[in-house]
Amino acid sequence: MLLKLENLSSHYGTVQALSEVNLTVNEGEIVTLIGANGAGKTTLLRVISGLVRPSKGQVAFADQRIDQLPPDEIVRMGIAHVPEGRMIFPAFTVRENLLIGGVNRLDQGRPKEEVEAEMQKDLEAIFKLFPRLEERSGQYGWSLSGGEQQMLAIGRGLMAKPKLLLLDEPSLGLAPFLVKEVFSIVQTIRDQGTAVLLVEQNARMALRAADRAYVLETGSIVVEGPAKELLHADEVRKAYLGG
Amino acid sequence: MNTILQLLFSGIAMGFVYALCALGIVLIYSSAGVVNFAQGSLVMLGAYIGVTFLTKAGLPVILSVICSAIVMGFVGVLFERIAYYPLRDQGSTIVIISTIGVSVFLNDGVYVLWGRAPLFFPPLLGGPPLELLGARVPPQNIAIAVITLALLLFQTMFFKRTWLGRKMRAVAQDQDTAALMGIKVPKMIDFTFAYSTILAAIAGIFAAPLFFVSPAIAQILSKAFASTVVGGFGSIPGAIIGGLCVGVTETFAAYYLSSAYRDAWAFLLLILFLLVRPQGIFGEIVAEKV
Repeated sequence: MLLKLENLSSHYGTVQALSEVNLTVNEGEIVTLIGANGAGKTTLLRVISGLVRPSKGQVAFADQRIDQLPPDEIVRMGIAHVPEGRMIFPAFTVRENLLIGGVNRLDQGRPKEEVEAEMQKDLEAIFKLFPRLEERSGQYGWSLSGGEQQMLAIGRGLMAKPKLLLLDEPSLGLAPFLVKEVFSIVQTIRDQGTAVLLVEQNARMALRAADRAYVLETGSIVVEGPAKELLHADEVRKAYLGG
Repeated sequence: MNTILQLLFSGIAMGFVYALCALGIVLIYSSAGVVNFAQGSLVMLGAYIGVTFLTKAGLPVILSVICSAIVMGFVGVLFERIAYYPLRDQGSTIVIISTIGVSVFLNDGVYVLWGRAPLFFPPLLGGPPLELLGARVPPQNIAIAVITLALLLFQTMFFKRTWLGRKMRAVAQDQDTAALMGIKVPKMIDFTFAYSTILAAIAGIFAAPLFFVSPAIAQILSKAFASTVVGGFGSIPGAIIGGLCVGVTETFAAYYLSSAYRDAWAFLLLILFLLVRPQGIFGEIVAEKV
């Protein structure tokens, strides 16, 4: 088991954002977390990556507790978080955005030249996955379209060489053909050996792409199971798939 | 013609001093999200520490500058740990008040260590004025220009080409996302305060021979603010160009209009910009787009 959340709760002031959440992600799978706006999906990812401290419960990654670690150490352990809204660095070029995604590798005590050469190779692999980014590599982040920004955000996450990729609403605001492309890329990423925890409002697409799924409602997991089953489960269909 | 050039050159030298102070304000603002009201007092402290190395310890000019820069780098980190870090989640108003507190403390505190009498700071470079395009320029002003330009060139290369520079720029753009990249955000903010305070030290040492070393130097803060607004608040090139604009404007206005109102001209320029082009010369392209 790669990631394990146990009885995880989180509060913003007096407001409870998550209550007693149990969730696991295994190696080599896409797990999706679906739910309405404000259900706590983003908070859950922020707790995993260390931006928010849980008020109760624990997070374990590769059998080690990580819920008290700072975000930079969690990245180094192998979790990359692609945040909601992409959060591209606007004043960085596409290339700089990608390189900064791999910056944590420099703090691991290896020689700089070796890491830089390795990053150069990974940069090329990412350009292969997203040829559009290579065409735009000298452009500034703010000048990209929404779809390009999403590709860049995912590429930047992959530059960290994660064992687990956290994706927050990658389809948000994208044209339908781009949504399809993003989900097929997510599957490619899994097939290349990185587990994915995918948070989505587009439940149908997410359930089709994922292996397992959880449904989050006002901070609690209400349904879980294989994604294909949830796609046909009545309670999920009614609430999230429009009947 | 000679007079105009003469004024231009001394305006530029003054402008570089403002620019260094403004740059420190902008760097701290973009990294930590706080306007540092103690920047002028840090410039003043830099002048006091500089004069101590130069006259009390008797070090040569270059060594005094380097030693002051090192000491002030540590002062910057200390300042950050006391005035910013414990209060960072309390909102920017609280932090601004704490920087004002530090500035009051420093402005009066220097009396305890260095006494009430203004201290004399010899010219950075002695010797007769140099002829430049028919104008007579004190070697000191040339030193100010050369050192500042070298520093800016270094800074540009540092932010563009080194990993540390990139990490600091990432934190300046978005702290949370920078943390998700594996960047140690508090450490980068430490470095930013250290570097900004080093810039303040150098500004202080440049200002010191033009005036005397006294708490009056801290008033450079208001000119530096005017510079950041004229250049475009938050912009690094803006801080530099804004500083030069303020320096040149006030030198010309003081000569041709009234030197009694020397300090008012910078603010007239500031008001003009706020009326006509509030985003300043360089605006903030990034802020508009995102």
